[in-house]
Amino acid sequence: VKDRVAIVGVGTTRYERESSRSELALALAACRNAIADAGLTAADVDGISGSWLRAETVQGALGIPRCTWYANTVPPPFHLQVVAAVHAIAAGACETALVYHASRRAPRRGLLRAVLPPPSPWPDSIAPTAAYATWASRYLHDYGATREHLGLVAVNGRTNAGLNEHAALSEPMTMADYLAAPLIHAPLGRLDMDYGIDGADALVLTTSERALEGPHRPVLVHAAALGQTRYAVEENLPDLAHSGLDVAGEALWSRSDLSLGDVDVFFPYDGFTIIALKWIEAAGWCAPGEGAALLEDSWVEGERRLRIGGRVLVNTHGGSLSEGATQGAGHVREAVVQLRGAAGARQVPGAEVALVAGGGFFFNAGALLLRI
Amino acid sequence: MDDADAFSAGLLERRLLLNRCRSCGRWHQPPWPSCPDCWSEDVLPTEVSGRGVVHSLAVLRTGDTLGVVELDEQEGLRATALLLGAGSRIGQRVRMAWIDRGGSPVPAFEPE
Repeated sequence: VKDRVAIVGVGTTRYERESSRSELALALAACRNAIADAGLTAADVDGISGSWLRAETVQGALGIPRCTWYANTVPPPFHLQVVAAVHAIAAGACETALVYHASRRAPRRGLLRAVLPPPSPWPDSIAPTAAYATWASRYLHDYGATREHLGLVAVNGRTNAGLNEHAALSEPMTMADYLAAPLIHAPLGRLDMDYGIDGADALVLTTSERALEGPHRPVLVHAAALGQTRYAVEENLPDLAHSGLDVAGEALWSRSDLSLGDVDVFFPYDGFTIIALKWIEAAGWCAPGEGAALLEDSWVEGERRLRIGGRVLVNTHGGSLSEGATQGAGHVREAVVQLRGAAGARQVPGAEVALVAGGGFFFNAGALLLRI
Repeated sequence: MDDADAFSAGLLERRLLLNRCRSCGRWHQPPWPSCPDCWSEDVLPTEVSGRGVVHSLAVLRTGDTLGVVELDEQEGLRATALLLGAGSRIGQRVRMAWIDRGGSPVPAFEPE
């Protein structure tokens, strides 16, 4: 797919704890914003990458006349929907695709259970809520890391969220605040977990040729990869060096002309702090088990945030931990905004390459390398 | 017929039955209907010793400790259940115990 597909439109809604709008209303608002941002109309869209809010629903509600490609990726880590659209456009199945994610806290809970893989037959299971806690216990045990290392991820996100008017949580947080927050499933506590919000994000993608006609400089999808192993059950992962993240990271770099040194800003998924820590390793910033030391080395106390290699900012929007939980949609949106140079107070000067690393350890990892 | 029927019926008899391939001898869980290693459909729910080592754990809000136990039968064959007794830790040797939950037997592990 190398540079053949571009992101040309980006749209969002406010993130708030309790919206008065429905999930569909939120998604449509973000979609309208993204299509308008791309300088297009409904008739220009001929592909839709949906999820549990289905493509035909959104197509009908937006009055999009005809689509030659659609998909519904469930459950919806946003990068899966994006990668599906990238592949569809590169294959010629459609020319211009709409990708959206809506988060709506209240009615989602029952449906989440209905669409996730069947529950384990064991009376007690680490899925879905304790899996990251047990694997965090293993990470801390194997590599001598501490909760303070996970706290660096959380505090970094909150500091960055302070520069993001869009973020649901922006009041400053210290390491003491992090450590004082209640443990939920120890070793993980409340501030290790993403913050549920109501809101939506949407993107418009098209061919890189057509992208040149739009009002913005296109953000090119330089490389895309998904990753999964045979151990797609939470308990069964052999160890923390052999997850879907590692597969996705390796595949991404094998398809790229760029390398880690070219990356100007990094967006590891942080639904739990331990996922971002593990993504630092899987993306290649360091070897397995060295992520905690890398976080320490990257910490800039004066800024109270991370700069990998003294340079690369991490989750400039605040991530799922502080901006709000959107299955990684916020990460992709922020990457596009940064590469356009439109991130205002939080802009990374001259950002040209962004690495978005999404999904979790077990069955939904993927990564995108974007460039302007 | 569900792939987990034998597993669930075993719990009622306080027996932990995991699928073992009669063709290649490998164990696997959850109870897939064919062997992920050799693709044989000749898999048999087979009782395990219930002995193993704590692989990882989480202390839940309830105060209970949920553990993943690597069973002695095979590297990577894991069981998830509550760990009984205080001070559970990774690497600890444990054995199966059974607790009652609403009249149903539920597997758990206690220090060996």
